[in-house]
Amino acid sequence: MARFKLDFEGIKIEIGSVESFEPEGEGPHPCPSLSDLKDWDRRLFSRYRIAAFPVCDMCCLCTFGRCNLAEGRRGACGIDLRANVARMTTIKTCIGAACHTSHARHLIEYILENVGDVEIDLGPEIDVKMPIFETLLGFEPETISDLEKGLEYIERELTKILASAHMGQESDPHDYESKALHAGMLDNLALELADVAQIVAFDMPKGESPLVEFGPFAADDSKPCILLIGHNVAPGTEVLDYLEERGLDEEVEVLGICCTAWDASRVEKRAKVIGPLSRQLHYVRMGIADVIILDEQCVRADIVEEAKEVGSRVITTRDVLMGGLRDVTDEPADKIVEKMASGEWMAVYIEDLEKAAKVAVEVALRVHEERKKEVPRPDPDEIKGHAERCLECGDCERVCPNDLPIVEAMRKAREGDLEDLAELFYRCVGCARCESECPARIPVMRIIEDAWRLNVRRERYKVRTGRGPIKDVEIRQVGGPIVMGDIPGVVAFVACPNYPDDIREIGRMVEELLERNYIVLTSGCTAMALGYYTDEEGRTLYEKYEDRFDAGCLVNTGSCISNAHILGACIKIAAIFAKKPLKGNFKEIADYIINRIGACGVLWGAMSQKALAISTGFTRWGIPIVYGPAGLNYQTLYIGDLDGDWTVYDARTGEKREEHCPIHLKYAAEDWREALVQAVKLCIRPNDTPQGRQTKLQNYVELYKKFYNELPPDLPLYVRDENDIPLTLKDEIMEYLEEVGWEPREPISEPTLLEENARG
Amino acid sequence: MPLPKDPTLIYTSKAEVARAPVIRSLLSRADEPLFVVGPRAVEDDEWRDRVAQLIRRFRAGAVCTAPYGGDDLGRKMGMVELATLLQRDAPVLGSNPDVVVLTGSRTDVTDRVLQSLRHARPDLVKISLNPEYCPSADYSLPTMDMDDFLRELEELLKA
Ligand code: SF4
Ligand code: SF4
Ligand code: SF4
Repeated sequence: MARFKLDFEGIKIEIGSVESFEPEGEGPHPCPSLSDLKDWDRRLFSRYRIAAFPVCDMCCLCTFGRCNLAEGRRGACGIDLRANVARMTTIKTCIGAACHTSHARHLIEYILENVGDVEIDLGPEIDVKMPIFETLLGFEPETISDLEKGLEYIERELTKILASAHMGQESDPHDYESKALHAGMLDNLALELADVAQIVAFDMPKGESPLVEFGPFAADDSKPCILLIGHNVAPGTEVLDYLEERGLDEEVEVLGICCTAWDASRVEKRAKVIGPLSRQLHYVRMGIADVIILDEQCVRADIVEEAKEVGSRVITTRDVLMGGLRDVTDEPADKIVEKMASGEWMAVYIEDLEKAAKVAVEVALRVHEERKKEVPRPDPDEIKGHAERCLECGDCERVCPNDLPIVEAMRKAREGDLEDLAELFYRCVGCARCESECPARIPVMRIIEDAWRLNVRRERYKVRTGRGPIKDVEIRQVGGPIVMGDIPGVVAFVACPNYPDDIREIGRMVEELLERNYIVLTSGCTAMALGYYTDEEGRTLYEKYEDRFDAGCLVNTGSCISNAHILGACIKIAAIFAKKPLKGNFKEIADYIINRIGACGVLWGAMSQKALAISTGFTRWGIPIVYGPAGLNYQTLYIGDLDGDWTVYDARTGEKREEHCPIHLKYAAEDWREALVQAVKLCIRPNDTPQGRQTKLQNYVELYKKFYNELPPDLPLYVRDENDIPLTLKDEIMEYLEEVGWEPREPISEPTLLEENARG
Repeated sequence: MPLPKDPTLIYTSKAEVARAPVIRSLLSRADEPLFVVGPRAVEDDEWRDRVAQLIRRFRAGAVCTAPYGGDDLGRKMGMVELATLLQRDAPVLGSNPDVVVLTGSRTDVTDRVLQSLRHARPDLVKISLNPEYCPSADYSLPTMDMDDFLRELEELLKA
């Protein structure tokens, strides 16, 4: 139903904004359903093969099972392993998308209740405010309540996708994978709904961001400390408001771990980001926090117990994470404070966020002095004592996701040399599996952290907090150079910190790309990991490179939900630079991105279902993804098939040509250098001008030679004619191309995958 | 092992523990053996050196999936690119391997790739040549310490 709206002074008449969900936008496909975009997905799968890497051979979804699907068997319902693996990808992507959607719904309802139906205004420099929303819903939202239409659309579609995972529903791996893409795309919309809602309601930065302090030692532990863990900033805003109202801003430290940290620092610069998810257990055990407020997503299930060990009080606040705690929402605040301060209640659930904030602050003030005395300090003799009990059985190494050399470090620690143990800290993802497994009950992870604390200087780093959207003026300036290829690419380093090796490898990759004039975007825990990478003077990349969406600049968009602005920037290039209509126009926009915008996402430590949902969504929009080795555990990748259909049409002439770029859509690399080379290669697009292609190939060839000491063997795929060859490498490349029988071909002037868009 | 009473056969196969003599005989009988060399082998001089010798000794094809400056470990290719080719029995380096040996990749990557091949390519003989047992292979060395592992590689090189 088309919406009709009139505004007179003081009177608002609205016709068509009905309660039930109805697609109401404009364009070819407003609120596209599963089947509306199936042909686009099939087009992608005609060139990208779904490579399955099953983790489990079994299915236990219904009581027909467990069914063994190994080596060609079928389950009792008839499903085979490939379809079942794709079904698991679909289910996991739905979980991720559901998290962001429920997060967005909570924020939107909270804002409508506590702040009001705020206008969606991102400042004078941003006209295209919600590009994902506009492309999918087919209209521009004006106020927060309009965003509910987006939620309703997502909820309708997600329910359908989940239904398809029931036994006896979908049976084909491509159709399942198409549903995973749909869920991912919906996830991307949920990100935008949540982030834009919080930006306008809590007055977060709109396109520029200040430097803030980072690291566990950024906390002034002489003051009472409240630690926020999770992703939903609403409880954090209540804490900051309460402190301000009571004039306690300077008296209490507000710290954060994971994305809620970025978002709290976007609300108030003085909220400190102390670390990514992988440091959650470490920092809780360090006993920094007097009170821990948990909101939602990526919170360890043992935090309540661990916090109790160091006397930290815990408040859970969201019904998706109640932690089995006593619900004291309806108790008077003073009573809760009393009971928590005395230690009678060490952890409680309070759904009323205003009350939770008041309790947190008052309890922190009351318990701080006493608690400070109990906080454990690292002791070298204690570490040595633990190491002496080590049986050298190697069980810890066997279960360590990163195969860390713990036994050798234990041997040295026994002799009093703690250096190896301390170094492990940078490669430890904080899972504590080593501790669960150790037959001698050695707190392995704890002593790694203690050794690090004894060795490390109490450094504070500077990071740039999340700036949210990319401004239209920035898009206008770089749209042309990106589409032509003169800016070699936009690479986004995002998501979780489940890194396969040293956390500082992220810094190495990012620095190399910045030096090579790529636009580098970051967000989430990865944006925090960058904070550990410093030069000799202790400066981070945030201090060395400008915060602009421009060549050689580094932009932190913010938390997980701020990934919306990374995709949003690509859509905005299509809208602002190429003047493509957005409304209800998904296919044309995705077609534009995959053929013209050299963007790529690197999720080096991807771990969560949310990261799967975000990245899967990005691939449907035409943005290739490179995971770290853990990406194989997501079980399906989209790998370019040279025997597939690589037809690209020239929209102007209707001519057909084969162009093999981007060569993969979902890739997993084992080594950071492999990931870097892939990311650079995946920024190559059919639309590159000869000059642009030269720049991209120069980077690809130089990096490949640096790490592999030879020319990339797939060069013939990317050199269309001699004009594409970088001048400084011309002789060498020509010699190679002649050797392998390369034939020049004409570049395509207006590439499209949509046959219906080729005029001819 | 007696099978449990269960309406379905739930225990998927596990790699047979094999030592050098068995692996040597598998490789000797192979028509088109392929070595897949990962980062751990590349970065350890002794491991790398022995693998290079093994490739020559068994006249095997080789793919190096790790960044590496040398040219004695075969053609360079990403592990997932290679795995995708193997999964659909597409030619690798111009031939279709009948025996594949994974050595030096991360343990999780080795497991994932071999598990995928177990389903997609039951005909392909899959060997894990690493210091850790890999259940997803057809034949795997048992878990052993590095010195023993290097000795096992030496053993494999013997005529
Ligand atoms: S859903 Fe199918 S494969 Fe899974 S347990 Fe039920 S019958 Fe078996
Ligand atoms: S906590 Fe660290 S050392 Fe222990 S198993 Fe996990 S990653 Fe390995
Ligand atoms: S599991 Fe425990 S006893 Fe065994 S090697 Fe590791 S730390 Fe030592």
